[in-house]
Parts: sequence; C-alpha cells; structure tokens
Amino acid sequence: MGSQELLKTILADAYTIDDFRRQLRIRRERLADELFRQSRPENARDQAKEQAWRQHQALAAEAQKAQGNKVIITLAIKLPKKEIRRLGRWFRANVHPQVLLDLRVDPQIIGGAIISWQGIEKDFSLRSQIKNIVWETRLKP
Amino acid sequence: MIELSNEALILIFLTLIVIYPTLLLLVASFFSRRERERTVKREVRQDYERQLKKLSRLLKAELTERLDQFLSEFLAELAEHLSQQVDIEADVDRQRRRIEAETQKYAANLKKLEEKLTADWQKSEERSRQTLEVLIDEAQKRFNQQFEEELAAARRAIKNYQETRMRKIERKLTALVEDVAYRALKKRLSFSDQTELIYKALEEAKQEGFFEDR
Repeated sequence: MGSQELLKTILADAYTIDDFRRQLRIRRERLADELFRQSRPENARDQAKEQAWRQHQALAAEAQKAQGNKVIITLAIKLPKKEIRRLGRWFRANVHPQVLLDLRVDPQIIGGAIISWQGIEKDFSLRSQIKNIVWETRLKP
Repeated sequence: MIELSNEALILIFLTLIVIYPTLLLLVASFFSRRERERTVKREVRQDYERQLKKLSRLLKAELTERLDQFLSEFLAELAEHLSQQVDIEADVDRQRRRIEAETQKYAANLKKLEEKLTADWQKSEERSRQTLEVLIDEAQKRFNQQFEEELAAARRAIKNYQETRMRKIERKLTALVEDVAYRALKKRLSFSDQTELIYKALEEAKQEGFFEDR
C-alpha cells in the first residue's frame, strides 16, 4: 500500500487531529514491527525492511502535510464521536478533503463556534453575537 | 620837825650844787633830745611826705601810662572787633543775600522740576495706562485662549472620562449580559440546539468565504 493510500485509509477513519495521531502511531508501530520482524526468510528480509522504511518515511511526510490542513474549532460542548464524524465530513465536503479537526471546548462561548483556519481566527459564537447586539445598542455619551 | 646838822646841810648843799648842773644837763639833754626827736620826726615826716608825693606822682604816672596803654589797646581791640563785626555783618548779609538768591533759584528749580515731574508723570501715566490696557488686552486674550484651551481640555477629559466610563459600563454590561445569557441559555440549549448553532456558524463562515484559500 502506497503512502497516499495509507493516508487516505487513516483519514477515512480519523477526523480529529488526536484520532489522526493515534491512527498514525498505530500504523507506525505496525511498520516498525514489519521492519524488525525476524520470521521472514533471509533473502526477503532486507527487501521488506527497505519497503517498510520507505513507507514509514513517506507516511511521515504525508502526515506532516495533512496536519497542515488543520482547523481549530472551539465549541461550547463536547461532541460525541458520531457528531465529530458528521462535523469532519462537513469540513471535508466544504473546506478541504484532508482537513483535520482540532476540537476545543469553552462553555463560555454559550453556543456556535470559534473557527481558526490557516492562521486566522473568527468568532461565530453565540457570545459574540450577544456582544454585537450589546455593542449596537450601546449607550451613547 | 626834823633837825638837820650843818654838815648834813652842807653835804646836802654840796650835793645839790653837784646835782643841779647834772640835772640841768639832764634836763637840757632831755629837751635837746626831744627837740632832736621832733626835728627828726619832722624831717622824717617831711621826707615821708616827699617820698609819698614822689611815689604818688610815680604811681599816677605809671597808672596813667598803663591806663592809656590799656585804653589804647582796648580801643584798638574794640575797633578791631567792631571792624570784624562789620565784616561779619557784611558777610552775614552777603550770605543772607546769597541764601535768598539760592532759595529763589532752588524754588524756581523746584517749580521747574515739579512741572517737569508732573509732565513726566502725566506722560508716564498715559504710557502706563496704554501699556496696562495692552497688557490687560493681552492677558484677556491669553486668559480667553487659555480658558478656551482648558475648557476644551476639560471637555476632552470629560468626554474621555465619559467614554472610559461608558466603555467600562459597556464591558460590565456585556459581561453581565453574557453571564445572564450563559446562565439562561446553558440550561435551555439542548444538544440539538447546540449542534444546530454549530452548523449555523459553519454555514455563516462558509458564506463569508472564511474557508477560501488565502
């Protein structure tokens, strides 16, 4: 399996950055097992080692690239896995096919979300809307 | 009565003969001496009188001479004093006239000085009045300018204070509203409401073009 395919396999099941890292760690451990397995015949061992090492390197590069498509979302509640998958699918459909979510929880925002994408953050929370309403109806000196 | 013998009588007679000349001599001597004394006395008196007359003349002459000398000296001195007094009087008169002249001159100078001072004072007063008017005018302008500046500064300070206070009140109000909203909505927002709000926020971000490549 090529590194691209391996990454797609990982991303298909991992929507958050934490899940992605976990999956990546598991894959790396498997590759390491492959790399250091002794049960292969002597002639096939070096070839398998080399292939596993290349895959390991390529996966690391892809993973680095994938983590660049990270979106930080601050929510008022902690979402269950089902809703996280839904949210991830929404992002991959509307933003980027390999996007990873970095979910954070801040109950003070009341509702909605604060989104940070490619280094820019914007507040779409209910707290922000309330603030805007208060600002628009602020007292005039 | 006593009876004397001849011899006794003779002796007495003889004695008398002897004593009689002696007595005569004594008497004569007595008178002679007396006469001599008188003569001497007369002579002495005469001499005394002569001496006295001489001395009187001498004394008179001496006294006359001394008196003349004294009188002449006195007169000379008196004349000198009189002369000096005349000089002094003349000098006093001159001084008096000079003082009168100086006084008149001084009075004239004083009058001139007074007139000059009055004129100078009037000029100075006029200048001072003009200067004072200018100063008052400048001070008034400065005061007005400073007053305007201070008024503007005070207005700015009040405005800043109002704005600061308003910002503080707004912050407090916002925090209060947030807190109230948080407390109220925390209990009332269901899970589906929360997810709905999340997707609404995502759609809003998408519509704003927040996810477009930069």
